[in-house]
Amino acid sequence: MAKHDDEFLEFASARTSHLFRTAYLMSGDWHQAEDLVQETLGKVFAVWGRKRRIENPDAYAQTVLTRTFISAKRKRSSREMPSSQIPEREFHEADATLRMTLLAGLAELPAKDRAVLVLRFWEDRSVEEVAHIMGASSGAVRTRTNRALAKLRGTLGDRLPDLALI
Amino acid sequence: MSDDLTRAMRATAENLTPDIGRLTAGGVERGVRKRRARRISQIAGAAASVTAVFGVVAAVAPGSHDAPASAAAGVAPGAVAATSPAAPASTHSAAVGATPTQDPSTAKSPSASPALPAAIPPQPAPSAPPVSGEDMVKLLKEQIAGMGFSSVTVLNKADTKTAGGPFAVLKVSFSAGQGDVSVSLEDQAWGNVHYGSPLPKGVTIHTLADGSHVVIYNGLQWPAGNGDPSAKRLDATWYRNDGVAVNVEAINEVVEKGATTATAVPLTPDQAEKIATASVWDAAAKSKAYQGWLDYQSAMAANGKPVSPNGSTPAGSGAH
Repeated sequence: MAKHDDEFLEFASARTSHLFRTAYLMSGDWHQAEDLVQETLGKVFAVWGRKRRIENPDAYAQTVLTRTFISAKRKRSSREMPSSQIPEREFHEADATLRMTLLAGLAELPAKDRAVLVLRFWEDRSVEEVAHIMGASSGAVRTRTNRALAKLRGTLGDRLPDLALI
Repeated sequence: MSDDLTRAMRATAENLTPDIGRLTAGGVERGVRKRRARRISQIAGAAASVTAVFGVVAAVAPGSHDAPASAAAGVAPGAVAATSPAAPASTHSAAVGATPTQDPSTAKSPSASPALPAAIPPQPAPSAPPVSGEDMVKLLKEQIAGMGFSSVTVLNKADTKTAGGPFAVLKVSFSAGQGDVSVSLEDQAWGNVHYGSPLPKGVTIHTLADGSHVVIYNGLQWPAGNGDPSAKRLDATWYRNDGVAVNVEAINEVVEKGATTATAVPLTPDQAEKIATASVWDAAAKSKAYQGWLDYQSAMAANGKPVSPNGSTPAGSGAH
């Protein structure tokens, strides 16, 4: 295996967990998150060997993941299929209700709204960074963020009191 | 700002433990296929360029002046324009987006130098002009004409420069009520599509004569069971050989995740497939693929390492 491939594996080993968590928050589905991460890693790998000029692979992978998610969700990929195998996952019991509530609230939102909230509040990206990742203007990101929070507020209610202040 | 939402997301995500090894292996597998597909398209692009050069040489070489001008001028632009987005990596000396046209009189002109280097035209970048959202709407309307819709309203549209790809969404009224018909294009090669065996319920796949594939899904809009069971969805996705997928979708809702507004989806599987595989999407597919290449160049430049005009590695960049 070429040296740059080894470097990719090192990158993937370090970042896959975080990419998966982002993908899971965006998609709300374990299998879709796995598919999204593999597609993202595939796209990064494809350019890694040819152009080792990705100065910030984390940011590049994040952009690829977000755009792949939006593209896939817009066409409501028919890969969203029922599964008889639910992978075993460990969750802290205390977080279970909040997790279900949050995921249910996010699931009610359009894909771009979900992506904006995840990037802003999970990834802690600035408005400008989110705008770059999503290929939108800063104003559009602000508008979408406010709109998405307003919708989410209705679902989460007083579980997240800070939302009422936004 | 909204620390609680951040905390909630962390509580939701931080305890997730994916199989990193399996995901990485899957990513590498897909990446290898993407590299292979890109190399094949580069070879195709190089072959087209060679064809173009031979065409020009034939036009300027002594004894060849009685050849039709189109043999020299017609082949070159057409052949280059048909190349994949990977090709510009070696042919980007012309302005990006320039239309690859060549005046036939140039190749035939007595004033043109017969010397080969001067006779070879600049290698134009494969031109795939943007296709507007309005164009997407117009083409989709043309495709559904005669399919029994009493009214058609534009709901949304996007051009080929849009990050997610071009699309058009129409609200249609028909005998069963109202619904949506949409078309969208994205970069998705068949090699990266996995449906498993047996196929999921509602999915059928068949191969066309050119080796491309069509996947039909006809069933619940949210087959995982987490949505309104009365919401139906029909998808026809054509995985073209150029790595672009054309998806036609029909749902029995006017607003996604809204209430169902019809008892059936607005298209039949045959109608959806006919629309998806229509040649009218060729221009949008080429533009989409070309835009993907431009986006890549832009991303590389944004990372602080500008791409040289001919796509080669800038000196001292450390790239290879």
